[in-house]
Amino acid sequence: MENPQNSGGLGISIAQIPSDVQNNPNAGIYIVEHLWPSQSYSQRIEVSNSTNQAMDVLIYPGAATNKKDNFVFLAPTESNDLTSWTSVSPASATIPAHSYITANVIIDVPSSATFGEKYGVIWASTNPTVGANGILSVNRVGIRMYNPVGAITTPSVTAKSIKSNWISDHSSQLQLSTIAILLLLISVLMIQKIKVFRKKRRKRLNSSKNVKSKN
Amino acid sequence: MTLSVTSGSLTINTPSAMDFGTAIGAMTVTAEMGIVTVTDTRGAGNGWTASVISTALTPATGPTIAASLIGYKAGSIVHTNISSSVAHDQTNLEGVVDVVTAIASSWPNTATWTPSISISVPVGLASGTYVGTITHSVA
Repeated sequence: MENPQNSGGLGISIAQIPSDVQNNPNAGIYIVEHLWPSQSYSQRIEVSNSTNQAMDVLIYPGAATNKKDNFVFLAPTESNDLTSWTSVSPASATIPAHSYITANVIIDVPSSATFGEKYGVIWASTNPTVGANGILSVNRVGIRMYNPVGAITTPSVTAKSIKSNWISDHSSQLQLSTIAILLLLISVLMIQKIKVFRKKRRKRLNSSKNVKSKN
Repeated sequence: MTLSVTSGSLTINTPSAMDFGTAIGAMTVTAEMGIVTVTDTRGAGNGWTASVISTALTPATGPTIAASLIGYKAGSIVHTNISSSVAHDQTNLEGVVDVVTAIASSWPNTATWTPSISISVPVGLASGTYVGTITHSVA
């Protein structure tokens, strides 16, 4: 259980990169799956405690939004489409000192989901016991979720201080797919037209042959 | 089909609690919170944003001190493998507000700062101990 990657505190990381996004450099640090209505998506994450004491943690989805092209975390009391579709198991745990746990994030997109870009954060949060005096400090560390839903082509946010181009990648991939589909349709139409043209020409040739033979 | 790769992590550490001492009547009390450390070993992306929100400070009985009366100053940021970091001083912690943004130049990278928290204690409060929670978030 020893996780040698951390040097102290509460940590979070992606544990498994789905094969369909493995070429996306951001798939190792964010949840970037392009989702579709009725899809159920699962992503494993790790939450680590590299302090010398056991740590009680909560793990849950939090809302985020695109505010003037910045990725903005919303207050813990707020929710959005993505948080309402997302669950984490386990939702709480006690992590021994210098250890980590694996949690599973599941996004169940409803069939009625509206298309668009959805933003959220999977937060791991310390859960300190309320003390009698002073101000308690809670730590939250998160994995951002940038999840386009459905067939969307609109360009998206550049995350605050994260000049990530992954969404433009998504966008251009989508545009390329659209172009490919259009080319395929044009090819099919052309083939059909050629077939019809050949059929007509054959008919014409046959009828002219018939006329000649009658003569 | 899946590909199993263990990624690096994003880690935060802050002191577990702080004490502001005693305020007598309406005044502004300020205290240093202790060292906040963010470590990023993820090996990708360009950086992270740290934000803060606070609850109101509540006594056993009587009116609370609103989170809008609580301020946050990150002060100087000591960092390694970060090309630029920006501290955003805040005077109202009622909502989630950014306090430090960092752009990574390589990994692992680390930033530490020692924030000072100020509380504008209003008039008319009951005597007693006021408690609340400040949450640091980094992603």
